[in-house]
Amino acid sequence: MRTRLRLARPLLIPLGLLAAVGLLASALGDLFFTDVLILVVIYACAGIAWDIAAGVTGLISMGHASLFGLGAYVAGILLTWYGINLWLGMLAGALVTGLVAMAVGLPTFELKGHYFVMATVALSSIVYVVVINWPALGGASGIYLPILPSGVRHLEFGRSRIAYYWVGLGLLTLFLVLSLAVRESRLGFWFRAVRDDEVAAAAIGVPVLLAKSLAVGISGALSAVAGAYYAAFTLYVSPDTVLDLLLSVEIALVAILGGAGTLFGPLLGAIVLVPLEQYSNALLGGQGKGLAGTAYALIIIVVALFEPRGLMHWVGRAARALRPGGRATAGSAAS
Amino acid sequence: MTNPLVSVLTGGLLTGLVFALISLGLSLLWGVTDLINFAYAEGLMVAMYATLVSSRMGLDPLAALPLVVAVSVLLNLLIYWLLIKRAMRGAFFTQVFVTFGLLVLLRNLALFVFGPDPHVVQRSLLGGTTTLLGVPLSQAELVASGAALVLALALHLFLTRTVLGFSLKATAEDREAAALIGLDTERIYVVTWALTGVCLGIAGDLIATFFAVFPTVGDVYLLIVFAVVALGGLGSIWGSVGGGVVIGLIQALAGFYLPAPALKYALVFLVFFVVLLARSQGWVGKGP
Repeated sequence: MRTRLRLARPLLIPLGLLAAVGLLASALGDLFFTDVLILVVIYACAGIAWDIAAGVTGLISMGHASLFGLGAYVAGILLTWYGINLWLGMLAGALVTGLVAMAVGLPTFELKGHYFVMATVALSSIVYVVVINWPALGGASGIYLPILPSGVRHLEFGRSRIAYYWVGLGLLTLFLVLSLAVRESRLGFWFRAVRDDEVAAAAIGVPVLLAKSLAVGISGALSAVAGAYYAAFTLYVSPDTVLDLLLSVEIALVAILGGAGTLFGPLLGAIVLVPLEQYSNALLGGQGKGLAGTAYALIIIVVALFEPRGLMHWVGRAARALRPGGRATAGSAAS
Repeated sequence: MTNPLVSVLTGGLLTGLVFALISLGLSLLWGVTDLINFAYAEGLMVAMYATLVSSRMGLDPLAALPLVVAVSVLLNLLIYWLLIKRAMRGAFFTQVFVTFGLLVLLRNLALFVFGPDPHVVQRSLLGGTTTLLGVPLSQAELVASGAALVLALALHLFLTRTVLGFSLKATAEDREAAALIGLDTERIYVVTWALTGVCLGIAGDLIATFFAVFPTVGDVYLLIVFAVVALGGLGSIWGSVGGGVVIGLIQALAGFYLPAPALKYALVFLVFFVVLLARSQGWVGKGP
């Protein structure tokens, strides 16, 4: 037990910093800043979820928005049609999405590299087309979630926006702990073995198919939780906000920029990308969105070409340089 | 009064040939270089915008064809030299992200320069409809379908009757062996990317005569094109034609019978998914 607690120590500094930023936001009272922070947390969670399948297990998916969106829709629909509490909706979404991801993923596991990516894009697009043409689910206009009295019980905080951040931070902590737990466990070993060399992994007795299924299931469930929280925050679900291809690219990019396969990579990526996107959209607006998007795209290309290991690689090196004793930080643990 | 099914099928055939026209470039690119260019459909979008711009300057799309092709070839070569060459040296992960990044880049550039609204190329020589077998068909689509067959034939002749074309085929079949027997892979790649530019230029120009131009038009065609190529076989010209026709017929019939016609795309994507899985099992020719 003590070892487990010790392992969690690297989490303290980042979480402490995030909490400090939250207090700052609270003091400033700038709603836009608060919203950006909340989105950072949500995207970080989505990125962590993606990374478990992609960075750790090597199952690169460019269709994760469908899992994120599935969670958002399940939670949204359960609340709007059946009055079911968002927390329960979140759990239901996680369960459903995890199972669907495993079921749909199973036949795709033999696909190699590019073909797997294409399959994820195809599946995600099917979901998008089906939902957008399904009037009962709101079609293209989506569904507006009902406004409920403010409070943790309802997971709505109309009165105090910053509360979304605190709950979100709690969620992020949970995600980081889970990510850490998975990495340090035998499951994590299986995942990395499958990623590094599937054939060798099978040769030493790693159950490849089971490992991939679990990776996708966990990733799907966590993505759904992030999606459900996003729905709770924006009180709106629609194909273009939660099922879009570009969202899939963003989620993947958050993890890649920060450092795929690392614990804090997705968080770092979110901290850099989300404010960048939100502020440039706000500043440039309208057609300027194209300019913001172009800058975003250039980041993707530059990172992919020049430092695909992401920012955590630099952080890891800096941390190691500052500690001649050589105690590895969580950042470099999984490279 | 024609049987509605006949008009659905003829429409599907035409649309299918149009799909084939767009897919020829990807089939070639994918077959020869083994690279999956996720930004391929954005190249189509660029060609369509080039046609739009020429049309605004007074050039009929048919007259603008050489210009549009030149723009498209230039774009593809730039993409190859600046991005793809480097990306091919990296892990497949790099290739995926570079081409996705390119997709986002081209789309947003178009959004920034032209705005999100759809534009229509002024109808020119290709306006109106003709009737074939009692079925009214769009002249522009007919020309595009015809062009698909002509281009396919031209590519086929190039690949089988010229030394350069033969080298492309050899590289498509076995890249290592081709390099071993002394084929200049670099030159072959450049030629392939240029050819892809030609195909996209022709396709974009002709399609712009009957389909609206907007920044996300690539969304519509990307998976369809992938489906056509997956079905028809990588690098196979006539396979792409056949694949295009099949996909065209599938989506026409689906649109006719399904409760919500727009769901036909979901069916096409599903077909693509199934073909991907089938190929990985080796059921149908060379596969993943």
